[in-house]
Amino acid sequence: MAMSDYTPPELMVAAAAREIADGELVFVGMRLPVLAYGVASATHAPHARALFELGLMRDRPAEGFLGTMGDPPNVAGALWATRMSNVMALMAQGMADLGFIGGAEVDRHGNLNTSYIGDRQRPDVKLPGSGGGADIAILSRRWVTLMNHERRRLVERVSYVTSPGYGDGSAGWRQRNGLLGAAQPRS
Amino acid sequence: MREAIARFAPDGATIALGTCLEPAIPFAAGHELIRQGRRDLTLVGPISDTLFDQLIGAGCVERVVAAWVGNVSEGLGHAYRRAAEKGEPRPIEIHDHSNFSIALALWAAAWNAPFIPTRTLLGSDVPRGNPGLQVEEGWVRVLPVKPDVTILHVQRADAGGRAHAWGPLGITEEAGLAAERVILSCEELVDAEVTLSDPNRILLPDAKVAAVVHEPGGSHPAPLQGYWRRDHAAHREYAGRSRTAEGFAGWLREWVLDVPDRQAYLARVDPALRISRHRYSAPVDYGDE
Repeated sequence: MAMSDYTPPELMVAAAAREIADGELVFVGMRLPVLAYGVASATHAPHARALFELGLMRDRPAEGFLGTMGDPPNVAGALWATRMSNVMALMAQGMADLGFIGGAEVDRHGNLNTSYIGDRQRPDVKLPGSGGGADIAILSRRWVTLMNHERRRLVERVSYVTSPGYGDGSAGWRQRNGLLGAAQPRS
Repeated sequence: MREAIARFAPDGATIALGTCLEPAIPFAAGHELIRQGRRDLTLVGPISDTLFDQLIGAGCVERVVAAWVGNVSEGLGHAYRRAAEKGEPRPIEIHDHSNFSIALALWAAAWNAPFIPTRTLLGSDVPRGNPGLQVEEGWVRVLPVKPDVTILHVQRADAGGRAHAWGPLGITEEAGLAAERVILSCEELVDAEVTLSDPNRILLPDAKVAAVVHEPGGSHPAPLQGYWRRDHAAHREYAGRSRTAEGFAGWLREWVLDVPDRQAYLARVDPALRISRHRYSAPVDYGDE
């Protein structure tokens, strides 16, 4: 068995960090994407900026540990502390280059489910919901799904689309339906 | 707090809470709602961390109008799951939103507009379960959501209802403007000359504010810029104990039902969570002549 000196989450963070180009405006979110932004900022993308949906913009990672994007170290030294709709305004204008979303289930066309497993009226599992995920999926120029690769999470077709990727997979589905962002997945 | 909740947040009310998302969540007010046994509430919010989960588990809630309900640092909301999956302790109705669409729904109510058109939620199933989101050709119609009462925890306020809040505001302004009335709880109760010295920082018109409650630590375990760190351990403890209905009931007794008020609650909170490294902004000059 091959030995590696890194863990799967570390690999995910490194791969996510590589998606961030220098100077980009990145809709970060929580957990692993926060680390990915930190890695990118410390290596190849020192001018990348981070947007947080509760109403923050930063040009460097927070100095202290973050349990959530709203923890005080993320606010100290921010470029902008504001209301959510102002941050969403930038994204609605197509100014967010990249976003990150986690999910419970993703399908072959990149659609994510973070809402309901099973029937919506009486679900088998009630997941927390969209949060800002659907907004990122619909309005950012490109986005990355960051989740554990478990068989049950990688499905042919999600039963509920919280955050749309490429819909039914037909050519031009995003444009036809009025979504922003790339016409084709990169990988 | 007891009086403010008793007078202004009755059974059946539509209440916006947790409008800054993760910070400044009015947990003290939420716990008072639980202690007073409120029923049939409609909760409105974006991401309220564990507060919505606690109110749902305590049986206070009939309907949830929100973008996300769970435990931000720990994952799923177990009480939310029990209510949605098994109808325990009672069934709830869920009106799904995204963060952007709940903000727009509150702006629509604040502006007294019939709806706001947006591109967000195109191609998503989120509008399917929500009569307040109507999909048109190329845009989505977001109908107004009007809270009866919006409850906020802020850094400081005066007795006349002028609040100063800083840090990211999330959907606080639209939730306050849209609401019939606002309950403010504040870390510091200050003289009006403090708030009026910086009118740009006043959060909302005082006419909206029905009550001001001096409630230090009112956001714990959520953070408050300049005052309190987030209590990650408390969120972890809640996640573990709320996994079963019995565990949740024990947690609720210990941290809410058997606690008479916020002062008694704070005596059990780690004092190291208080922020000690202060970073003051430069004063501004409102000079006029």
